[in-house]
Amino acid sequence: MNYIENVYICIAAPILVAILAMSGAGSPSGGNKTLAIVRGNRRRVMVFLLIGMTICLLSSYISTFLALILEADRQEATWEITPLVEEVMKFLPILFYILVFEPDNREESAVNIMAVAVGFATLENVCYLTANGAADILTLGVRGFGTGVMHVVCGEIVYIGFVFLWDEFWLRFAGIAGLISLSATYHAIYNILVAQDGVTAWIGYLIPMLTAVFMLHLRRRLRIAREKSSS
Amino acid sequence: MIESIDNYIQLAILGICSGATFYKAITKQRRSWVLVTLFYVAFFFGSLYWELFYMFKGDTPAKFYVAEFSWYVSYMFLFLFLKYQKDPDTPAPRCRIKWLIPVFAGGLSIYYITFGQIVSNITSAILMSLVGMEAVKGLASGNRRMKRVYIVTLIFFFLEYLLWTSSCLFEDGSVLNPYYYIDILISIVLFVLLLYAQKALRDEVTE
Repeated sequence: MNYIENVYICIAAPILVAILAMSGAGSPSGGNKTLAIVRGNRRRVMVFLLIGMTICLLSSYISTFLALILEADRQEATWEITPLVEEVMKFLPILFYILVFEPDNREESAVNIMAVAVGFATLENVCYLTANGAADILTLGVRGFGTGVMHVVCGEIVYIGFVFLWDEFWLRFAGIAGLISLSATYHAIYNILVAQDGVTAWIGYLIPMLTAVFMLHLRRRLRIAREKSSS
Repeated sequence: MIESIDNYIQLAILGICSGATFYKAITKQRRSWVLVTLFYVAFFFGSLYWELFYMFKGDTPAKFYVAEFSWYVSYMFLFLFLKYQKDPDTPAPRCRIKWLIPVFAGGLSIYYITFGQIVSNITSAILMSLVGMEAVKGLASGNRRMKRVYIVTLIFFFLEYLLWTSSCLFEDGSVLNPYYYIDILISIVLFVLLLYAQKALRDEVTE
């Protein structure tokens, strides 16, 4: 039995306290404190980290509920239901933030999806630790990097939509919905591979790491190209 | 055996197309290339997921539509690509013949619904209708640069419907099942689509 709520409270409590402490230090007197929490850069990252953990908790409830409704076993739930639920849930806070708070720099704000992904992966990994123990450092290291990076890569896939497909209404709506579906399929492919034994699982764990390295290289190239075109 | 060969051919072609378009999207940094890339990558991911699921579970995904979502998304990206290739200076001509596309897709989707999966069939009918209508509209508009892309898209549209219809009529996994050959033909058409899309986008720059 894995008490995910207890784990969540234990991990989230210090982050929540830190967010509240930071809001007290930085908010203008008489200003809207809730807005100030979200707007401060450092606090914002903490808020999205906490939201990521909360989303992880909620996703587990929704996935379990859907698995019961669809009469899916554990494997079917992991391969078919969980990826889509998790990717949609991870996107919602960013969508809310962009639509409600209307930040000036949309691309910069979309990066927050990474913070959500990190928070999500952290709680998921801690739950894995409590369920499976922390004795085997190699497996844990590979799992930590594999799953953690996979969530970040999925976030980056959706981020592409904010950069390239946000200009027009239809493109924005359809493009981002499409990219969420794409990241869910990527997630599902990862889940299928890591559920196997031996080389297949290792390939599964390696795919997100290689994708992340590739995306890092890609970002650098894009930055250089932009600098060249602006100069 | 034939199913695996068909899937591997499709995965290989889609993998090549995804890689090639991805490279173009990075080097050119244009929205058109991003949309073409997303079309191929989504199609590739859907097929890869389907194949892996089948390989490791020995059955097709039945609880949720992960692969189907990917394929629908790929149709949507193809539609967006075609939509944003219109010449902004040319007024859109009246084209009544385009309405035959949703009639055709809707009629066949009603037939497919008799086999089950109502939501999935309606979704695919809507998205494929959008793709088909955009291709017909494009042909009617006389956009010479995109003419071949529109024609290949229409071939893709009709081949997809031929594939789905054959899956309803022929259920055996034998070598004689036309489903597999149509699927291989679709893979080839997708490759040809890439070649013409590349030419059209190159001409767009030079125009």
